[in-house]
Amino acid sequence: MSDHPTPELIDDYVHRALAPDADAAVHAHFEECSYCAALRDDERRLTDLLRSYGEASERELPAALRASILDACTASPTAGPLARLTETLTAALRPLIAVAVAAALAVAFYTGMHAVTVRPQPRFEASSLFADHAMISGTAPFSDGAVVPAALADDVDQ
Amino acid sequence: MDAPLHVSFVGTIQRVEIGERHSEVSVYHIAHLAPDLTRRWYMAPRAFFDDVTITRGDTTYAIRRSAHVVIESRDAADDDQPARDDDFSLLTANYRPVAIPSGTIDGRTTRAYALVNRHTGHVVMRIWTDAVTHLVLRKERYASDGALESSMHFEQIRYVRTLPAALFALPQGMPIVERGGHESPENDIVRLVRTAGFPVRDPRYLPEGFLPVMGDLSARNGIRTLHLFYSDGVRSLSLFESPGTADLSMRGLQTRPVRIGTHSAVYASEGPLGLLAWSDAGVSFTLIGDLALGELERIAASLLR
Repeated sequence: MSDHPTPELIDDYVHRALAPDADAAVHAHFEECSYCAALRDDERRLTDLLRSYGEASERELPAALRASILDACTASPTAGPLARLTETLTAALRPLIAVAVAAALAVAFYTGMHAVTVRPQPRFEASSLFADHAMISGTAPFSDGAVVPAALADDVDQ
Repeated sequence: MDAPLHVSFVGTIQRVEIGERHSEVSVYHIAHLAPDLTRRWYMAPRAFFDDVTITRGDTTYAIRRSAHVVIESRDAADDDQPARDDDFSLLTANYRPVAIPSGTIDGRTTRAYALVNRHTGHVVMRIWTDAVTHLVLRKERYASDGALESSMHFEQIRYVRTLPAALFALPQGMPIVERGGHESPENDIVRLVRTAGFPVRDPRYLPEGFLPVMGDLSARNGIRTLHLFYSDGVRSLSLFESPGTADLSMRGLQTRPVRIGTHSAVYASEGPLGLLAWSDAGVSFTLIGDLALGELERIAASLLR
């Protein structure tokens, strides 16, 4: 893959939604392109943030609501207990689901804008530090193609 | 890169770099036209195949065919004869050369030495030189426990009177990019520290014989980074310092957590080189060197406040 993947393709890669050959090609591109690799990492961070928000947002049903569900299950003379329980739970949870979805969308919007407008924390590549070290250490004595000075040769202990 | 002033040659070199768990081998052809033109072109590994470096004096051009770019870098210290003299003075101050059995390499009679650390008594390097030209034909580096760390040898060597100029020409049509954001390495450590732009810390401990040799300032992702290079003439150590706690990407490296005092740090190795990275009081530090982890940890501890 010589062209950069689109944001949609990166998103599919993060969520393992690509066919194997496309997945391999995108993965190989990340090995060569630090810019696209950074976009991939941002997508992963957003996904993790949403997941952790979702987990943090799960809550117990209030005790009074649990009690009213049980009452509904036992009181209704016409509907079966399972149908009544389903209807009651659906009605009770509908506002909670709506709130959670709205909150997730708000978080996605905020973090998406945050990622666009705020520069991500700078990253150094360890490989560049190794390269800088090698660059300077290559000037040390006995680098490839070096010549031993006569002074050292004369100084040898036999 | 150092190069013989009066000897021109062509040859093939094999290098082996031995890490904690795996080794890397590279094979390249080398052509040198005295005094200061050198071409290296890689046969192995596959990732470097057909990559070429051309050195003209103190300037090296790395020709990356896969990326269709030429990267130019300059070593200001490379044309500094007093600095090279200092390098060998440092070496002889810390290492004693001892004659060892020689032999021949590709028909060339050799003189061989072991470099013995004067402070520890360890053999750090064995060198086989051409008895006539003094060119290093074979070299082996050893860790302090005697394990082989790296080796290099000429598989073949031929001395020549001249070489075609076209061998050292840059390819047409490829953009030349300066190695970005780096000032040239220099020997004036005091000036570098003074102009770093942030409080620089000096290690209070270094292995015996190590001295600061040179350094440079660079901008990485807009963050100023000071690189100080220490050596005892054979072994080397780099210390990178930068303000803030910038994230260090260890992509492609196997890492493990370590502790420096009460600070969390991360250790990785590449071939015989170890890397130790941590942050302390708003400064990021990275050590890279051909030293054991214990020595790196001791140096790191001496940098803590």
